[in-house]
Amino acid sequence: MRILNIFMMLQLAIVSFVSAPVETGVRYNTFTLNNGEFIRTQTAYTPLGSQSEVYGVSLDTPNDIFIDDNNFVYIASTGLSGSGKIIRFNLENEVVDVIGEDFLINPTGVYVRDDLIYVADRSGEAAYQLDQDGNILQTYTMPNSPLFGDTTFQPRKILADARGNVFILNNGSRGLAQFTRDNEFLGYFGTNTIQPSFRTVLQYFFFTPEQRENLFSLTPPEISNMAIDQRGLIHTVSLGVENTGVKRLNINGDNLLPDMVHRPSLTDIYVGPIGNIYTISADGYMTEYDREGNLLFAFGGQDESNQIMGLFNVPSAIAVDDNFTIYALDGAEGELQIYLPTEFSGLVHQALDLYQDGNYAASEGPWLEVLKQNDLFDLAHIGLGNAYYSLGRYEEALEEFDIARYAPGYSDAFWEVRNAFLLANVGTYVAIFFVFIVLYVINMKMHFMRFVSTPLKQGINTLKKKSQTFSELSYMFYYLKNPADASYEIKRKDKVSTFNATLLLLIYFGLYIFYIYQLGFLFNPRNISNINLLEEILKVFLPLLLWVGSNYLIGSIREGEGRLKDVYVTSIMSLSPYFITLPIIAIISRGLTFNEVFLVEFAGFIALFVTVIYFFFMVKETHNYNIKETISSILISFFTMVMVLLGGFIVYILLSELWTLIIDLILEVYYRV
Amino acid sequence: MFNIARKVFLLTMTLTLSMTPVILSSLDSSVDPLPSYLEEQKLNSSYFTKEDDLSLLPIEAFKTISETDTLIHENDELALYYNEEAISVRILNKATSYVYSGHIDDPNAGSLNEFLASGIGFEFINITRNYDLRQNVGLIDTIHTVETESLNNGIKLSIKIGGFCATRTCERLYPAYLNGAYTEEEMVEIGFTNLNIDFDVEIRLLDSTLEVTVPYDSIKENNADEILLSSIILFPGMGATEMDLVPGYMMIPDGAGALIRYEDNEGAYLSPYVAPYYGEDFGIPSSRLTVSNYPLSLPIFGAVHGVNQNALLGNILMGAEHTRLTVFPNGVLNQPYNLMFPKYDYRTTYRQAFTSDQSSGATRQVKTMTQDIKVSYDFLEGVQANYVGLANAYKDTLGLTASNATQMSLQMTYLMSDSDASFFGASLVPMSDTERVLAMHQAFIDAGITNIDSVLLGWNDGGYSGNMPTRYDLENNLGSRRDFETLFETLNEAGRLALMNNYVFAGASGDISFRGDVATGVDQFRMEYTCNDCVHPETGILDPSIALDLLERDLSDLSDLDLKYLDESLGTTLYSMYDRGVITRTEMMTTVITMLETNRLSLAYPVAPYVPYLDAIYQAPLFHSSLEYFDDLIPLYSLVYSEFMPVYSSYMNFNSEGKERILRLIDFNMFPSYIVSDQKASDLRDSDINYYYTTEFDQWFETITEESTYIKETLESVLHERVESRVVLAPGVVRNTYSNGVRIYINYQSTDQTVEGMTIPALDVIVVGEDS
Repeated sequence: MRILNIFMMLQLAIVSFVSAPVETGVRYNTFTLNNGEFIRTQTAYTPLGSQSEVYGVSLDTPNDIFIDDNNFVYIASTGLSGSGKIIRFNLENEVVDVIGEDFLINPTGVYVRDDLIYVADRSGEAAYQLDQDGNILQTYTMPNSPLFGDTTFQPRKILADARGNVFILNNGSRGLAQFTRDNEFLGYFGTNTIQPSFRTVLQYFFFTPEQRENLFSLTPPEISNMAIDQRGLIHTVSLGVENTGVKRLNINGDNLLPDMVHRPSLTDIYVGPIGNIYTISADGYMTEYDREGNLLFAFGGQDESNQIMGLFNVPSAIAVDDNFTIYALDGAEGELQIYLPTEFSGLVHQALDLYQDGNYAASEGPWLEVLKQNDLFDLAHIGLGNAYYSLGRYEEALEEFDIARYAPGYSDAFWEVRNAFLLANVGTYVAIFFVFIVLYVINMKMHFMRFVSTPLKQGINTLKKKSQTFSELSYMFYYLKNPADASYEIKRKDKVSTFNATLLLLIYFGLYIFYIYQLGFLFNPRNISNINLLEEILKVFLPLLLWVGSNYLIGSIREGEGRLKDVYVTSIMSLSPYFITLPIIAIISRGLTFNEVFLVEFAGFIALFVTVIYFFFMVKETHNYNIKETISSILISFFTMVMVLLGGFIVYILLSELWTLIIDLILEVYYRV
Repeated sequence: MFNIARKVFLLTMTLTLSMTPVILSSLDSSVDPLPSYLEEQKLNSSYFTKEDDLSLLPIEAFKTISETDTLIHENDELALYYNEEAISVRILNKATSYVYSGHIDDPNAGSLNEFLASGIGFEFINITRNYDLRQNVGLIDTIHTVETESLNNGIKLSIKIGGFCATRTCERLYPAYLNGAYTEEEMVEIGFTNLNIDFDVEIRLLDSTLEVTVPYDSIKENNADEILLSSIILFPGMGATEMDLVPGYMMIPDGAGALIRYEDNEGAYLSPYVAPYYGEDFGIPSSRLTVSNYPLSLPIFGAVHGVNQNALLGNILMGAEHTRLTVFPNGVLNQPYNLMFPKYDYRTTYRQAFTSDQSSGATRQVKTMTQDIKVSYDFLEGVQANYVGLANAYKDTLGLTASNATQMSLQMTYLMSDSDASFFGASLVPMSDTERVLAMHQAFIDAGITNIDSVLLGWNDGGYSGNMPTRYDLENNLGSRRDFETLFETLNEAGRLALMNNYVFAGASGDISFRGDVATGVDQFRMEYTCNDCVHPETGILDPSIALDLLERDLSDLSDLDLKYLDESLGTTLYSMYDRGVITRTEMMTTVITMLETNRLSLAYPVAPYVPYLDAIYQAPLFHSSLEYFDDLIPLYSLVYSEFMPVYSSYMNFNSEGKERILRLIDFNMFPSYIVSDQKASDLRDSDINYYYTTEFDQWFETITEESTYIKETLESVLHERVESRVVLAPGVVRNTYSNGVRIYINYQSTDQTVEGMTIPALDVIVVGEDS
């Protein structure tokens, strides 16, 4: 959501004034990621302006662009007269020529490998392999194979691998049609799958067979474009997908990239000189990722007025040359936009190149320079952390990983730091351990600890006598030992007052807050700075109060004995194991790494398990139910909670609508009269 | 013999001293430069100034005075003619025999023909047709009468616009209608609009200036129930050229400054460039949105016809805050002319929402201007006929005095604190306490940077974000009052001191009543905005009168201290509002000037009317709005003001271009500006000012001292001197000549360049003294 908002902010920036003190010179902000959220960074690419022709050759409607190893740019373009062409030009030599005008109709894809030009002609219903003079060497037409299916052959994009296999994007939902160099259709590759959602599962259960049939006619997300990297791995982008719209496919067609931050309307992908992945979306945003799919830069945007340099109306394709210069096409405007890398992005690329080659130590300098330019650049912190780690500077690595909130690196570095600490202090710990053993043995004989424990016990007892509150709060310990009896006594003998139970609840809330703030960051998915008091209060108190109300109501119609007060007090008491464990988990977690994650998970599980049991017995004893009645009471109470919540929500919406209606009525009368 | 030796020695010394390359290799980048062909593309982009086409004007570009033109007045330099047929003027520049015309004879502009054939145009709102706005109507396209009256040195036109016929049938039948043969209703059916609008235009020739006035009192809307005057357009053809017939350009005061060259655009532009002077009006939810991101900061426009041959400077003396600059590069609306004219807006339509979610509404109109229009045209020739000459001509009208500073100053903002979200509301993120600011400041002094204009950001209680506007209320976690006062004293010794405040964008925690003091737009909806992901989600646009009250309230607290407030927004944000009636932009401007008259307020990138009240300009732009129309970036803003006061750049911390931007500062004669903090910028990552993503002093100290020393060594030779000429000798190679004879050569290329017998090192400058 935050990401979406930032993209919206990018759009807003077009009509509002750019923050003057941080002047970029371009009409879009450039973002990178910090702790998973977009943050502004220096301009990475500067637009040169748009051009509708190249050295006198009109671009007409440009559909696709590719740059070969010699920095020759190829643009597949369709003219108004229904004929297509491939424009080939080179900015360095200032040469341009046009090929394929005599037979191309609507070329929508172009690719070049080993001086062979591959063209996908959508309206021509054919794809071609051409030589540099534009002579047709091979024509790919609709295969006869039953594997191909009953779709028409309208090739949209094309590429070839090192062995001469050709991949044609025909019907995007089916994947890439793979042909051998001899024009033999091999099958589809990289097809997207339909991810069953909770909704589709429900539909499966509740729909009629007819409806279910329609359900299964759903097509998987459409692949909108593709690219191939220097290692021969094919990359695809798909439409309408969140997080997994960019894929790098292995030989089985499985995705090798992690979830990535991107727009849902990706139209093209390109692999840059150091394996960097570039994408462009239909609404004009360009993103650059490193080889591993980490976002480096997001920038660009849409300008339907076509007046602002560097923004698009409807972009159709993107390509990047050896100098990291981006060439992007705007199909709607018939324009080519060129973006030059800035010195800042040059620095990032330099650092990244060293880093990706595993040359961590050498990348330290460039990363430091990048961080000087932007202290919030996550990838630079991670890169620098890795550089420090490889140099054995674990504490510095830890700090960098901490800033970037990069858990795997932090865990490794922390393990090393902890290990060094333990090794350095092993003598002390062994000594302390032995001292304790000796003292323990002596105490068994001489009982000297009684001088401590007896006054402590006496003190507690005195406090219990003097303070009713303390006495009632400490009843919780009795409850932990004997929940059934304690529940009974609370009910029958009013052992704990409502006030003191509330006090206990507040203490538990405090423990919970301690937990969410102090839980080691490796185990804490929250961003501490986003924690909101009201939200946390609602999380803790609302379910409890709903439970108490619902369970009391259900109890009163199902012959439960518990009064409202009893349900309230015992419910709070029954949650004790969970809340008491929270701070312990938090403290322990700060000394652990991912290697010991089971300790945290196990402690959490035990706390939850015990609490569930206590909870069960609490209901049973409070209402004096048998097992069956208890289970049914709990389930109906939960159902009631949901219903109350839903009802409350509906009432809230209705009241709010009513209020808006009244206000709008007054406003309309005021403005119209 | 001795004399000869002495002369040789002196000559050698003079040459050595006067051609001093300033080289600072440590600023050089470790990143490989772009290949030369890409660099060439860059240097020819609109982020740089291109080489001028110095060819002579073709003979076809010279218009003539025709028989229908009547001489009204003349002096030694100019002659003013009135053309009754076009209700227009022609100006003859006697020095060059070049004629400027307020209209175009027999234009070939399709739908704009009648408009361009008229010297006067207008726009009107038809209330009965759902507030339809009729644009670009030429006076000769209407049924009108013009009475002329001689003025001392000019002519007064009393214009009565009867009606407007949208069809030929209507035009044909109109005389019969006047004779009573048809009723108005019948005429309306065939495209007649009864306008009934009157106004006067006074045209005077004053020495080298043509001055045109439209008195507000002369405007009469006699059919106001149906028709309202929206805008008046004076001389749409003034300075117009056809396609690429004339070498030259149009000059636009957008951001740092921009040029649109006269080239054949081959239909690249579909719509005209339109931008309001002094920025968009946030108070009117209008359809008149601009695509610019910088306001037009100077009330001028210029056209150069033949570089160093003829040039025209338009200067809007009154009413600029209600004026839109309109530029039609050739190709827009399929017409071949390059047009540049202002539209003076009396009224504008806006959308009045009727529901709180603004989903339902209707068009309404609001009167925005209630004052005279006054515009002057200056006609330049020879070496003055270029953008530097235009800037200097405008500068001469300002009456400002040149600064007498002897040293270049540096602007340093010390980031002291902000806030991020905490469990209970927002919590302070201290970035630099008073002690550390003092230490940082001292470090700069020790490094030889002794002239520093300091700004403190986040000095106030609770930090910067969400707390604006603030009273003089110091954040005590950063230091005691005494610590702050010691700091103020120390910073004052090195230069000016300003505390960052904001009287436009108010936070909910600011020292105001957020609900009560936020202004309402003319649609009577409060101008407030919500940012859901922000620490301080609510922002409102403040009622300027409240801002004035707040500042005046603080005067007593500030009286003993030698400091000002710096407002980052007020200089470029001008809005109408509603408070028991419409408060116009002119009234807001008056309020801001009252604030400035307290001498307690500095502004970032101020628009022209505010500059006379300032002694320094903060955060001036180094770029224009990057619109496709623009061909060149020029330093117009700093050409105008750098002679009078320091013009500081935006913060150089966020420079993505490396040394290129430092060269740009030198080229533009602007002084650098930085923001530093004691703590790392990553501490602010969850704050609302995380766009300051690199500020740590330890990281920046060395760079700041190096860069500012480099700039200082160059610019101190031309401190507050007038730029006499700025010439691009080769792509990316610029020569600036100053009034003291010093020339600065700037080489933006990544290879050494030899020009005028001198080699300018790659990405470097050389300063050549008067003697050489």
